[in-house]
Amino acid sequence: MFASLKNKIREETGSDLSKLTAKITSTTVQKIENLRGRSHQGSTSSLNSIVSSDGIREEGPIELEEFKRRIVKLENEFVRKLEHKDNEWREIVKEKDKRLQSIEKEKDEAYRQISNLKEALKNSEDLKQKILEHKENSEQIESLQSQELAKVKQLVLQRDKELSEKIAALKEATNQLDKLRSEVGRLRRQEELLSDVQDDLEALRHSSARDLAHLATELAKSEQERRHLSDLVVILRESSSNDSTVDQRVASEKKLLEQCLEEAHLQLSEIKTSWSDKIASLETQVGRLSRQAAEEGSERRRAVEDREKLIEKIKQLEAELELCNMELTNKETKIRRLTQDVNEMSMELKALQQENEEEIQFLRTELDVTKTEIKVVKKNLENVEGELDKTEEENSKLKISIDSEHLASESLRKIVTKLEKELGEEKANSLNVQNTLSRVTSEKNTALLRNAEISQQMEMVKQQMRRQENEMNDLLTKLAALEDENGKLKGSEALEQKLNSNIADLEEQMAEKNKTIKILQLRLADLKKTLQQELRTPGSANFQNDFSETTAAILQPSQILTRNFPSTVKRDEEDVNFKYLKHVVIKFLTSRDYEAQHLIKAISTLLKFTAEEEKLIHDTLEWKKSWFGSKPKLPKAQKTVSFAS
Amino acid sequence: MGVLFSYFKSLIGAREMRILILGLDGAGKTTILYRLQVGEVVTTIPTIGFNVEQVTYKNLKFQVWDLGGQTSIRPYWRCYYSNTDAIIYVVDSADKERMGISKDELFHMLREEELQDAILVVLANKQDIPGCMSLKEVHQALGLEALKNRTFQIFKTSATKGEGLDVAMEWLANALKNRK
Repeated sequence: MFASLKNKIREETGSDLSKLTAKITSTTVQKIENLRGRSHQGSTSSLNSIVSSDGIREEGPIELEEFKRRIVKLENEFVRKLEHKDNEWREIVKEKDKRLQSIEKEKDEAYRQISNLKEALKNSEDLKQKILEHKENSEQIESLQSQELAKVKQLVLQRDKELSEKIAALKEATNQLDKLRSEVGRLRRQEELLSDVQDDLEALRHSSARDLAHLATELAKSEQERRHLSDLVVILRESSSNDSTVDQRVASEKKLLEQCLEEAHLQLSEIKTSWSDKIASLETQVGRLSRQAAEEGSERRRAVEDREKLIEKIKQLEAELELCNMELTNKETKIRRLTQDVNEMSMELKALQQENEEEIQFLRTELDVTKTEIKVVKKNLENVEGELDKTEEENSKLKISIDSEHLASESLRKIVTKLEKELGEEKANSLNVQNTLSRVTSEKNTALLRNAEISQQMEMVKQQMRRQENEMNDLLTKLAALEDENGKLKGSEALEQKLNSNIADLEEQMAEKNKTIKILQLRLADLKKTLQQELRTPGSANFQNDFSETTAAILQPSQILTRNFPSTVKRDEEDVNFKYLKHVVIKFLTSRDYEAQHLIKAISTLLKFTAEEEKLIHDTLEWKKSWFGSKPKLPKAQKTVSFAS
Repeated sequence: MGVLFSYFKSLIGAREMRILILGLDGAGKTTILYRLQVGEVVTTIPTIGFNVEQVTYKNLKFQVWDLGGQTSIRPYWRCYYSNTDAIIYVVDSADKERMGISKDELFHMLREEELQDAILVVLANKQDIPGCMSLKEVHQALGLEALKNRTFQIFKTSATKGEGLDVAMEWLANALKNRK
């Protein structure tokens, strides 16, 4: 047993136990002597003060405990400081990470914005192309319109020409008609003349016939007169034969009478010749007149024929005119329609142009907006870069602080080691004391064994401390690497995260180590307690009491919290739920059918209706909504059934 | 004949569009609802329950439901999802701490089967408060870039000043018309 203990002590102290014991004995003797001197003064607080032969059992363990307490205190302090520093350091790292993340986010956002803006630009270009297409289309439409217009105009012009031609023809026809009418008028006058002439002719014939009758009567009278005279001549000849004288006178008278008769004959013949002449002249006149009348009649017939022809022609022309007018009206309507079409098309064109312009303006504004956004993003990027620089500076600062911390921790560690050495010495002293208490009982042996165990624990603690130190070094190196990486690139987020996770792991490990240290320290304290008990020392009771009190103090508040919190929350929730239910029910009762239908589900979830109950309410609502009252019994029956069940 | 019938159908059977206004408590849902309906800012108290109003915009009739957004009554939202045409999701741009909760609620809601065809309008409200999140920040914070297969748009608004609501409603009206 002792050999192993010795070995351990050797391992721990690096020196031989015998030497140590020799040292211890020499030192302890001195110390004991000193203590003996001091014990009267009652100083028990100094670290080196240990145990006189009488007071070993009383004072030694107390001082040891005090010493342990101090160690514990110091260790606690160190741990606290370490934790404090760790926390600070962690916070700084977190802050940095956050900043880096935010910077990354901003960068990503900027890229996204840039891509968005590019898309917007593409869109705007597309829209521009569309606008151009629209313009082209509109131009095409315009050209088509103009072409159509030209066509229409040409048609109109043609129609106009035709119309004018027709009008001219009509005018010609009317002129002809007028001419013919005037001719007809003239012919009528000629007819009148003709009738006059015929009348004259008749009158002439009549007068000539009368003259002829007159002349015939005169001729008959003169012939009667001649017969009378010839009778007279015969009578006279007879008388003359009777009387020559008388004869002579009768002869002379006869001669006179004959002369008279001859004259009368001559006169008659003259008259006859003049009459015959007259009759001949009249006959020639009549012939002429009859010829003239025939001519006139033929002319008249021709004129009548012409008139009829002209009337027909006029009718034709009038029909044509009507047709022309009809066509004209048609054309005019067509023209109007076309002009309307043209107007509509122009309106459409205008609307299109306006739309295009609006679109263009909209796109321009969008473009401007995107430009400003790009500017803002650039500014943000610059800001982010500035922040990055700042963070880098902070990183360097952090590094420096970490270094200083490291130095501090090292110094703390040194103190710890010193204390541990002192502890070792103390242990040696205790051993020495045990040695000096040469009348060792079996209890003491066990105590020594316990001591060895303690030393083992201490060793473990030390080893862990070393490990911790190593881990700290690792951590620092990793931190340095991390800082390098930070300096290298802002975008290597993944790596950094990995490092961060590593740091977190290490920190967790640290925390675990700290916990284990605490546990070990507690165990050490327990062991020490048991040691004290075994050494049968008073005063340990106080320690235990302290411990129990502190643990109780820690536990209590959490218990209180856990008890109180849920009840209040629950009450609030119930209150809100009740209010909600109240509100929904009121709304359900007051709302329209359409809204009420939507509220069925809410009410049924709030009141935890079954599917049947929900369906029942739905059906009743449907029934209320419907116009026919045939359904009321079915839902009622369902209702009774459902309530019964 | 068919044209006439459809015309009558459109005249008589023009169904009201059903719209839900959702969002966390205090985002400004009730203020937006009454701003849309009467065009004025009304003083509101926290809605425990809901408000439903008729809103007519550009010959389109909307039946707008404003559901209370408090944590304990948020689970009841899903009772109102059926037959919904559009969702207006209101976010308080100045409430940076609860942006994550808002995002979770939004995506939880969008996973619902009944809302797969609903149009989404996100309103980054309270833009008049200084130091609030910008439209892009809200867009990013809500993770809207992850939305696929959904007609949605985000607008910045200020319900108290009445800014941005017209643009949002115009977009929504057009989107609903185009969907028909």
